[in-house]
Amino acid sequence: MLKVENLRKQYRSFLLDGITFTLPEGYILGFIGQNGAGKSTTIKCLTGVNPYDEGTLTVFGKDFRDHSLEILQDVGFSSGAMDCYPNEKVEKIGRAYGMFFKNYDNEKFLRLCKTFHIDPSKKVRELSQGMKVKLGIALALSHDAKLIILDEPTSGLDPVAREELLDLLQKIMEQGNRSILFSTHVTSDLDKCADYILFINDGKQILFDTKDNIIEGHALVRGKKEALTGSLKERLVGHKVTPIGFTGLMKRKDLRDNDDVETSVPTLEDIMVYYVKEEIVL
Amino acid sequence: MKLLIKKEFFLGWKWYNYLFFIFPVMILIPNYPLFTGMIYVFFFVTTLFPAFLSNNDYKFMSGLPIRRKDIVFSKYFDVLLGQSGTLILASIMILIKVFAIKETDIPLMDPNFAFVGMTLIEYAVFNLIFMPTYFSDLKLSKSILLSLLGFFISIGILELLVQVVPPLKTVLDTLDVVYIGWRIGVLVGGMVIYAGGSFLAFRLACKKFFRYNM
Repeated sequence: MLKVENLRKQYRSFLLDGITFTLPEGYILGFIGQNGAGKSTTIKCLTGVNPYDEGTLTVFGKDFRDHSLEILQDVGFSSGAMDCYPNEKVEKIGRAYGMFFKNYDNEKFLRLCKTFHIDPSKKVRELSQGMKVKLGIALALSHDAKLIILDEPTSGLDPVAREELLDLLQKIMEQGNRSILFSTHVTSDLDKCADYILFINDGKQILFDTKDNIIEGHALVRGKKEALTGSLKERLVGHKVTPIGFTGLMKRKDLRDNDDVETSVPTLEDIMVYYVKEEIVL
Repeated sequence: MKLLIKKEFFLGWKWYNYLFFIFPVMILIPNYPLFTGMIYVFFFVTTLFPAFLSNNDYKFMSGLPIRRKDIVFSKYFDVLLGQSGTLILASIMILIKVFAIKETDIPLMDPNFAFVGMTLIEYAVFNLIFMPTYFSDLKLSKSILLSLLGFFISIGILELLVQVVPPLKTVLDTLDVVYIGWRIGVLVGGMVIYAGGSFLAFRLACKKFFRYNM
C-alpha cells in the first residue's frame, strides 16, 4: 500500500532524514514522536502537501512523484480537526470537497454524517472539536479512500471523544482493503489500535516494526545503583537514576543472564521516553 | 485547475466581493482623475485574500488531488478577473464620458485608448510584484504594500511623462482622432506588456510557491 525509503526533507533549522517504512494493506500504522519530532513534516511529504527533497515514495505500487494526482484520488488526508470555512454548512463543505474526487459519493457522505452524529445543516464552527475530526474522516471515506492519513486526529479531544475516534478507526478497518496512518504524541492511542509503530525523534527514525515486536523486543530493567556498571549502561537505550536505584530500557537481545536487574514488559510510553531521554538523574 | 476556480466561486467569493466591480463608475464623476476608478480592484484583493487565510483555505486544499501551480493560478485568476472586470466596466464608463456626457476638462489623462493601455501597464507592474511576493510566504501585508507602491509609482511616472513631455501630451492626452494611431499603439503595447508581465508573474509565483512549506 505505502512504501517509503530514505525520505529526506530539509528546512532551515530542521532536517528530516532516513525515514523508511512500509504499510501493508489492511493495517494501521501509528506514527509517534514528541512535539517537533517531524511527524507532520513526514505526513505532509507523504500527502504531497510539501515536496520532499530525496527518497522514494511508492503508493499503491506507483511512484508518488510521477503519479501524485492519480494516487491522491485514493488518499484521504485530514490534519487535525476540519475547521476550514467555519461559516459554511457541513453539506456545502462536502460538495466542495467532493468536486475534486471522481469516486466521491455525496449520499455516502451524508450517511456517514448521520452515523457520526454530524448535522449536515450545521455550520462547521458549530461543531465540537471531536465532530470536526470526524468530519475530516467522513470526507476521506466518502470518496472511498484506500489510504487514510490523519495528522494528530486525537489532539485536543477529551478522553471519551478520543476513545470514540479510535473505535471508529478500527471499525473502518473492518470494512477491509484500507490502511490507516495516523500520527500522535499520545502513546495510549497506539495501544488501542495500531498494528505497526513508527517512532521518530528529532527528524530521525528510531523504530519501525509491529507494535508487538517493539514491545516484546524491549525490556524495562530495574536495579540498585551499584548494578549500573559501565557495561550495563552501554547496553541501555536510556535510563533514569534515582537516589535508591535506577530504571532503564534495554533491547531484549542485549540482556545478559548475569545482569543484576529485574525485568518487566515496557509500555510504548516507556519506550518512547527512554529513547528520547537517554539519561535522567533525579 | 477548472475545479479550483469553481471552488473559488463556490466557497471563496462573497456578495460584497462583487461590489468592487462597481467602482469604475467613479470615472463618471466630473473633474475626477480617471485612474482613481481603476485602483479599487486592489481593495477587492485586500478583502478576498485575507479570507483565504481566515477560512483555512490552504489547509482545505492540502487534502485535495491538485498541483501547486493550480493553486497559484486559481488565486491569480481572482486578481486577473478583478482587473479585467474593472477594465471592461471602466471602458464602458469612458465611452459614456466621451460620447454621452462629453466632458472636456478632465485632470491628467483623457479617457482614451492610451489611458487603458497605461492602466494595463500599471496592472502588470502590480502583478509582477504582488504574485511572487505573496506566494513566497502567503502573507498579504508585505505583498500588497509593495505592489500598491509599485502600482502608484508607475501611475505617477506614466502620468507625469504624458503631462511634462510635450510630444506625448500632444498625441496621448487628447481625444483628437488625428493621433488615434499612437493611442492605439499604446493600447496594444499595454496589452502585450500586461499579457507578458502577468505570465511572468505567474511563473515567478509558481517558483516561489513550490519552495513554500505549508
